[in-house]
Amino acid sequence: MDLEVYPLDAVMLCAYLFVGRCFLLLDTMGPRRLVVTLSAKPGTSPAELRAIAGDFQNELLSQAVRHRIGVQHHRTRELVLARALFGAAPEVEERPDLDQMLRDLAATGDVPGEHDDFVTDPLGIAVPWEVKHPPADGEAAPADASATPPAPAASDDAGASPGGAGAEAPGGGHRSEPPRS
Amino acid sequence: MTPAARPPRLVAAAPATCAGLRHVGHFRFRRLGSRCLLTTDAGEFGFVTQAELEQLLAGTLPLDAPAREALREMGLLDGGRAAPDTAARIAERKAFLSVGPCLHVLVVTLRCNQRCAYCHASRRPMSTTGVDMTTDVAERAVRVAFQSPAPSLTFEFQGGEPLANLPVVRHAVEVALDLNRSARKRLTFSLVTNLSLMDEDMLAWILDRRLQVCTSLDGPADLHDRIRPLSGGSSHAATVQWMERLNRGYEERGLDPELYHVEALATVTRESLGRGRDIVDEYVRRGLRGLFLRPLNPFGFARRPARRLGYTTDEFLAFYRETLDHVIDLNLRGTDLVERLAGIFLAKILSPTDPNFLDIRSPCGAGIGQIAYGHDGQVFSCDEGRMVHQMGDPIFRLGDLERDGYGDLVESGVVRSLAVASCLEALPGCTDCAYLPYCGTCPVFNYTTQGNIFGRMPDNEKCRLHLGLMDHLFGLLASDDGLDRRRVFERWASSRERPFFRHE
Repeated sequence: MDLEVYPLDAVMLCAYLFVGRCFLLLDTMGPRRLVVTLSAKPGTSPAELRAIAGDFQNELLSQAVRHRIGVQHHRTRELVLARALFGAAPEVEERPDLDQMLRDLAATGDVPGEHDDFVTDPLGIAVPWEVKHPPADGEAAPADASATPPAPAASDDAGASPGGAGAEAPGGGHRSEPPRS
Repeated sequence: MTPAARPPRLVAAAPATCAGLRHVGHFRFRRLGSRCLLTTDAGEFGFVTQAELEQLLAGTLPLDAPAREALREMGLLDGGRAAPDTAARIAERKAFLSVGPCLHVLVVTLRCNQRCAYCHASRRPMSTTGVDMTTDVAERAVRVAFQSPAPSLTFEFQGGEPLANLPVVRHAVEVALDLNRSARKRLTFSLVTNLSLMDEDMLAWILDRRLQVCTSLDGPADLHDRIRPLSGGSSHAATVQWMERLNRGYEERGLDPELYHVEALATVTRESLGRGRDIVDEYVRRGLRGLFLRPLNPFGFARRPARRLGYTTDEFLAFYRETLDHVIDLNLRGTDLVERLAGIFLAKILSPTDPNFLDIRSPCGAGIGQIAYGHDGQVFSCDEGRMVHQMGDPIFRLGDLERDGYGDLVESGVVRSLAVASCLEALPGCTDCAYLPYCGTCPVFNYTTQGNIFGRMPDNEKCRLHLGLMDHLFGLLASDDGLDRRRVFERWASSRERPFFRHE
């Protein structure tokens, strides 16, 4: 077969689906051509093998089209699936409120004192790099945080949708009505 | 919808008479008789003639063309709708994506006292032991369900026949109500039962705890009893007797009978074909307000008797069209009766939102909208997946309540695979279908009938069914025979709150 028509990935996926029904061998024949040989398993008649070959051809087309559509629409699919899987994910435990923790700490009286090393900072760990090593005249200042490339926006940004994260679909979204018994 | 995902806009060369028409917004189309249906990603729709479609594409649609107003409302003219507006409309329609698993199906027993010819639930005789859910398993299931981020949870109890193990249902309900004192979710409980094991004590508890009741009524007594035999009596008589008793119970509590009544569905078998009117008339006679004409499915035990009870999709569609037309006719003459399957599609077609019916959405609700808990604590993507497991194939199993927590279950590879396989926006045969905004595929159905969770749409029977249903509904919407079906359809598409069944 012509690999200009059928991508190699599609051919291999298709072949893999048939390993239970017949023996398959994939081999190249020139730079863009591939030969797939189907051989009968014990107990398979010639007519059955021809039917398998026909099914293989149809499945090959299905796989090739799925591959093509998948590439064309992968961004849409990623957006939809990201939102769906994120929407179902377990709720993350609330992060502790740092301010509240500090208030609680202050309330206990166990607050940092002047004798604590991290307050006095004898090694100057808390001194910013720019202060320790100021740039010479004409030398570019170190890049600040704002120049850092921004993190990519989450594709399931809740704020972008009127529904928003956690919003309930209208109607409650259940299948229990109509019933199934 | 990302720019990369949108097909390039069709740029029309605008003649002097159509100076404003430079671009046409993105749409899909399907021919329905002499009309062409156009739909957008956001689910808006309109009809044009073949000539108007060609003019639209060529950029020669006259400024005074009658179709212009509808096309403009769909955002198809004047360069198309602005991207943020389109994105907001699609997000509104897809709001269900952010909800999380809201339906939790507890199979509290496999035992059942009826021997329905099409039973798909892998029933066991009433004397079987070891097939009832224990209170411990039920409690674990409820606790897992409460870890879902969904603000509303529906617990659906089914079997088998759940009344055969009502103590476990009671326990699950009480645990859920208890947990909800701190969780503050909106809870609904639904009991899927044939009603024949009901007694007054059970009924009092069901009414007291405000459980919704859903049952099966396949038609008049002769049809129902032949398909759903009950040893020692008529299953039809038992069902009808307790339906009426429950409905009376709602009335005794001062509830509006228009809103509060037992829901029922009719599973369509070969014996139903040709008897659509009888089935509808039976529903009207019993005072039901809703009818769900459900086709047979290929799961569980229903495959074995398929030769005797089954039919082709075309046969079902012919039956459905004829029966639906009778239901519509009754509505036009003043009888309120909703056909629920049509109602689901109409809610998608006529409203900017999606009703979140988990079997018909993209992606489907398997694992991300619903979870099914087997009697033995095994957990599945959906009830259909559980049925496949009952047939000996564990492919849709997510885990086990003994070992796995909520996160393990919903983040399993099975859930991701099912979501990918049911995302219509990237499936061959679906991406370019005019019905994409309203449709859904079932990977479990695809796997069972075609051997692959990715459906092969050209010969997929579910696809064929949905195409046929929507062809008929859009055909009726496009009809200009003077009948006011639109008013009926808008009522079917709307949903009214039933606060009695809601626990907050």
